Amino acid sequence: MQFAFAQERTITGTVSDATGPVPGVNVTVKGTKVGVQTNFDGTYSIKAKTGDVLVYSFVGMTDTSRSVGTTNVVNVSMQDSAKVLAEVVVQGYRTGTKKSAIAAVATVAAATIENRPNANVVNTLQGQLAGVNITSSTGQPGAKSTVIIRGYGTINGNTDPLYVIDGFPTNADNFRSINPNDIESLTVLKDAAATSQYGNRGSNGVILITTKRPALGEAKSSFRYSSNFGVISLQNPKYDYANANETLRIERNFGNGRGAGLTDAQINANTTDTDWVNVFFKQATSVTHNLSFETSSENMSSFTSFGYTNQDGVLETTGLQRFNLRNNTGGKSANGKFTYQVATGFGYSKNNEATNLGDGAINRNYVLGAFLGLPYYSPDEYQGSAWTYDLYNNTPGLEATPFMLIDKLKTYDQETSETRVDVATDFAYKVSKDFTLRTRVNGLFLENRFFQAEFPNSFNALLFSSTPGVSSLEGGNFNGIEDINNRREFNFNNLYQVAFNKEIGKHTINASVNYEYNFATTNTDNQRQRGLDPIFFVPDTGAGYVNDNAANDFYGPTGNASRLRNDLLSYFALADYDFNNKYGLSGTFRRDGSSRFDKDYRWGNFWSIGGRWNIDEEAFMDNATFINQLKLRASIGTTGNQRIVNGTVFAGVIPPAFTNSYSLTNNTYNGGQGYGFNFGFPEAQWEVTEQYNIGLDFDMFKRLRGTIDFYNKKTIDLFIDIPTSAAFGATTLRGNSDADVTNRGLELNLAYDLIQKEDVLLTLRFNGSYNKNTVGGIKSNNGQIITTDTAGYTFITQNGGSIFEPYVYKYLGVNPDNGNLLFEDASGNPTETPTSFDRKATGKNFVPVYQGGFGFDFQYKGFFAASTFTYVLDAYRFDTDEENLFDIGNIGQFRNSRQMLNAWTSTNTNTDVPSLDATNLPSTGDSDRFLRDASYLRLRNAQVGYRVPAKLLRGTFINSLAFTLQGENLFTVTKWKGFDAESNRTSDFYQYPTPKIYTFGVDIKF
Amino acid sequence: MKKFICYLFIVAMFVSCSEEVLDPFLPGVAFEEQATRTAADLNRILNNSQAIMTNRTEYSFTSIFTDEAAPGSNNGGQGIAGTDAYFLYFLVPTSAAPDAIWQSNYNAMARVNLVLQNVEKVTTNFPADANLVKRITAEAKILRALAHLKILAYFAPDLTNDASLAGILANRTFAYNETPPRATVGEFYELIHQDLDDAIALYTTNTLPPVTNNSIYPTLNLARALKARAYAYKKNYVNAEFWADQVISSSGITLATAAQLPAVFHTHTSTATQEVIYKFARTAQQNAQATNLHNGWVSVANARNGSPFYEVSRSLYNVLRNAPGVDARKDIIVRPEGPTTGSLVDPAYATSINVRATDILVPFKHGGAGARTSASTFNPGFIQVRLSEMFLIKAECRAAASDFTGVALALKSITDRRFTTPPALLVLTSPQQAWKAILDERRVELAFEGHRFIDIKRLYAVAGINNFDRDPADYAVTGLNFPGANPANFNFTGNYKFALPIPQSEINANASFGQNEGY
Repeated sequence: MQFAFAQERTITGTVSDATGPVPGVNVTVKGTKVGVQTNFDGTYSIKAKTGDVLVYSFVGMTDTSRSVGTTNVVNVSMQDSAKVLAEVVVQGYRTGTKKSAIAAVATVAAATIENRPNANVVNTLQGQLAGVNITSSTGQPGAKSTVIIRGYGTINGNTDPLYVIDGFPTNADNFRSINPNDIESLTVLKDAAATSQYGNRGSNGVILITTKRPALGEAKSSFRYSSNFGVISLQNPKYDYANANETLRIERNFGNGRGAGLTDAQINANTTDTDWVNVFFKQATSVTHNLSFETSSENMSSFTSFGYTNQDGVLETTGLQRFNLRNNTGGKSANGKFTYQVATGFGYSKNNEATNLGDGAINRNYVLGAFLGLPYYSPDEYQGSAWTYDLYNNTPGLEATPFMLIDKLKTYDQETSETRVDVATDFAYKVSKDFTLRTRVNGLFLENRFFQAEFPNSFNALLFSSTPGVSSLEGGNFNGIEDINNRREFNFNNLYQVAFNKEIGKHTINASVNYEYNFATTNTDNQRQRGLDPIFFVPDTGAGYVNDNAANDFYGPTGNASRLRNDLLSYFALADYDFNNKYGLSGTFRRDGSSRFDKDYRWGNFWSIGGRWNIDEEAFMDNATFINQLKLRASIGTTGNQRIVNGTVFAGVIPPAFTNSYSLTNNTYNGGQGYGFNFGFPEAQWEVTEQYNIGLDFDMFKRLRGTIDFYNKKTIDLFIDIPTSAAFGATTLRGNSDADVTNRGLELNLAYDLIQKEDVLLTLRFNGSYNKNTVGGIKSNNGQIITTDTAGYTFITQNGGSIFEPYVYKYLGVNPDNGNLLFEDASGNPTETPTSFDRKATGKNFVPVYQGGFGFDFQYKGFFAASTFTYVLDAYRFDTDEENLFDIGNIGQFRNSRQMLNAWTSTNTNTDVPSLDATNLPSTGDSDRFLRDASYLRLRNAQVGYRVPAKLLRGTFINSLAFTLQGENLFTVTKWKGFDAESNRTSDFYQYPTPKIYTFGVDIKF
Repeated sequence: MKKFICYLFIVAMFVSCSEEVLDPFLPGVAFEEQATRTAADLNRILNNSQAIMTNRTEYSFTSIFTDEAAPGSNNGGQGIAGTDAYFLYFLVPTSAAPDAIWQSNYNAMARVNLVLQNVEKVTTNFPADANLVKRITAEAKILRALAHLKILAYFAPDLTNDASLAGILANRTFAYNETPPRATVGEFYELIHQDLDDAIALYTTNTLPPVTNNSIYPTLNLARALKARAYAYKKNYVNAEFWADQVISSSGITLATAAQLPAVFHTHTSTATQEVIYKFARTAQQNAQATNLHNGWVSVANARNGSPFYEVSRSLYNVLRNAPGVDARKDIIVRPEGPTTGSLVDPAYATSINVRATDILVPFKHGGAGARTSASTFNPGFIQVRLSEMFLIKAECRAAASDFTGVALALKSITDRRFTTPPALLVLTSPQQAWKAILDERRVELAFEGHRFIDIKRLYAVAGINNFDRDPADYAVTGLNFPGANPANFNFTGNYKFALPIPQSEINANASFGQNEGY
């Protein structure tokens, strides 16, 4: 026995499993409360003494222990506990280890999601996953992001992936009521081997979300509290806005508006210069609190959390408040044969949104007022609704735009409250050594209540009153409206599974047969009250409602209600075979029925076959010691899509897509009723996506890890709006067409540990994808479909090209002789009067060809830093906001670009701004003049933090304490001049841009 | 193992009885056999056809493309920007107006054809309704003729040449994958007259149940009036005069007097025998900004503070103001001067530095002061055919016969009713003068009713004019400053834009259909 002073040291290392580093592993010093978690790269750093025992634990893996010896680096390889706890790991319909996985998947762990200041978890995933294009197209807190996995596989159908929350497949893609901090991991299934498990809804990819649950084992409990406070601000545009006096000069030059006819001295006398952006946008704040506790014992464990979030939007009146409660409980019977999981989430949110975004409603869209309001007016001039109505009457009305909107800020109220209850269960019983029976019963209940009120005697109420401009207090009719809309959605899912697992020598077989039923329904009932008494009116209370009377039919409520339903029935079988951990095969077959189609077409069959080869297991690889892991995967298969119409799950259910039908219409002609006639496509059936995928997973030099995937995804029986002759009775008919869309691409995911030292860890990560979208098989119009969007831009979808390419003439510049615009005609010559024959497909598209993310994770003692950059290349959109700044129609009523002062005149002929008097300005919208490169590189997230050394915490109740400072969207490098390069729209105008967010957070475990 | 077998059995039970959940749940949906059973069903489909045809595009497009309207004080880009810059004579296959005219007429005809297709079945099932079905048949055919006539007028390059191309002959229902060919003007006239003759025969050989209001349903008078219009388009003036005379003499409808005009246009309270032969009815409940007729020119109301994005053109106002005597149509077409709501007339408009703000001529014809954009309030019907058009057709017929006095007399029949003091008989000495007089009278009489574009297309050559009559205040640098709108930029002679482009939506489906020349 030797005696010595026990010296505390820092032990570092990497925790990995068969496939690579494992983030989020709890590393604790046995018998103490000291503990840390491995970071995203599986590395950890913990204070310990020689002789201490470090315990490594992670859900789904067997706890591993190591004694601290002389070395300071302890690398641990953990074993999947699938065999032991397979029933507890709920991931899709299959359970398996990372090593045996055949599918192309990408996972993001809790460490990446936790404490990020995005109210919607999907938003946080941006730049983390190769081949997954995520765009938040609005700055509204909690708003739904658009997720496109491996490109647009459909032209007019739905492109949302399927979300599977704790084993519950649901199309409810609204995550504003889900607490991101409850999420353990998020996995994206991309290839057919994976998605065809969810064959009936897997065409657009699948996102598996697993909420937190501690492993069974040693009796213990822990608590965690985290909180952060944020400051949110608008991203600034690069437009060259004219100030007030420049605006007056532009008006004088053009001869319209207040500036017309003014002298220089008169213009210079103006001292008001308002940037209306500052009036309608503000700096906002956010705060979140999360408290959770975990308890586990040999036969039962549970995770419970409370969350509160309050995030204001940068646009006035917008914001989100949310309260969450979650309890996940799981366990097993004493003999281990029966296992169960019950995950229950409750969320309540209140959401205030802006209306009319992206449209030209001057009296309703705040953003329009912010971007276009005339700078020589001051917000201080506003004196109430009646004053605004007066101003509107006595100026050319559109000048009053910002005041109408200020009035709306004060006299309009709106809120959506949402209650969301998620219950996901899993019960399994091992009837014999080889057979397990499993059932899942899942339910999602969503209730929305929306109200909006246009207050009595507000500007808008006065404007649209039956006694215009006369307040009800001054003898006019009662005006104003209030809407109250209720919506309920219920999703139910029921699975029965018989699973077979058998190991015979080197052969392992896992197979299951399954039956699944999905049911989704929604009810709405909406009412609108017209006529509010201003003395009694209180929003959302029913106070001040004026009833219909003999003299005025206008008053009183109108209402409507609806009920929609979609049912899916599936039978499917899954089988996996493994030989000696070296070769694997997997197969899936599904037969799915949907209530959306006619009897003869409702069933679809989907299948997949995949295989893997763990090359590193081969004897000939024994000498290649630098290779830690190398796996080749390949798969082929099909998936289906039944969502004919883009929108909610219920879009396109009524009227039925598969048959002609009639609906009742009221007040159709001369007060009589009518029959609406809706055309159906009799052969409406499943849209099928065929995909093949080849991938390689590797881990080399103990430093470099990654995956490469090549895929080819082709959608046939494509849902499109089939163009029809007008004589048919409609412009288009939604149905399965001969057209197809192919997405072919390459995905790369890499991580490299640049520094792997005792105190210092630096890991670089990169992911990127290339996706080429090609349309084929269109028969009509020589393989072309030409469409015009609401903003008036024209797009072409044609065989050999990609979907929705801008179809424009090339803008060449300004004719120095007359100030007109010059365009390129079909034969390449300049023309001032292009025709439709001069249009060309640009080969450009709003969907990026290249996109991805990269960043680093750095750790030095207690300090840590991380960053994520996202990039998008080869994406083009119309910048309508910029076009508006050059619109001569706006002169005198709205703000313009300063460059309008440089417009062509007979004495200023060398300019790129056309003459204000140019005769062919309307051709602008049919040209590429404002088609802009929307590629960007953005610092999506940056964080620095400090984890207080455990020794300082000794003797307190705290086990771990960390502070983090982080920023979202800190800067963007882009040619795009507008507020936000990021968008999923083909053109952008008067939209709510995504903000910059700075937060400070604290995370305590005890 | 025993437990396992039971379990599987339960699963199988559940599976076998559950397929009926896949039967679609379709509340509020009716199918062919339920919705085309009775005469009332057919009537409801026909109501839908008329509602679809109630489309304001022809009115607003015509007014802004020609010289009836001009950008207004609250113009937010309407008519001057993008693919809809009609004021600048901009017109492409993706423009919204040709598409709306094309679609609304064909969509309506598809439903009309659905009615005609089911007529026989209903008659067999309910013999008692035979006469009602006959009336519905007549109405359907007249609507189909009206729609064909509009397609012809807007899309055929030459209305007088039977070989010229028109549109699709919608004489039956079509399947979604059909690509009907482009029919000729001759085939169009043939079907139009056949439909109208059938309708006339149904009306004259039966005693059909009456409708509630003659002016808002397709009646015998409308059938005859449309025959007159169709023959006038064809310049078959012998037949045109026959049918125009028949309407004038036998319809029982009379021209409204100056004092009665507000009831016709502003309040829509005129009787069924006054002035209007056919208009699409609108009810207060249908009041909606997107579909109201007056909202084709103004956002809120026919008022200076009703946000007029288009106004009455200065040139038309000058014509009305400078008329010899008091033309009651001035105060019908342009809202009289007045504070806040009334027009603001700037006598020095020609030299105003900000004419957009100083000279505001409020459009007033459709619905007058009562037309609002407010739920459940008055909005005007869409007047389609009036008796005065018959007199104008008669005038054309007389001009074609070189009977200049006849022309003047026909025109005077109208002006006598429009001026408070009947004006003197015009003295016309040359064909060109006669045609010009007719065209000028049509401009005033039918202003904002969707005629001007077609009238110029038909008559510019014989009337000897080559450009629209726009006042510089509405386009020149010294005025509203839209130099592209200068009438000199649009010469009538040989101008391809008199035939609207075949909409891109049709070409998308029907590539072999062919585009009109020039686009």
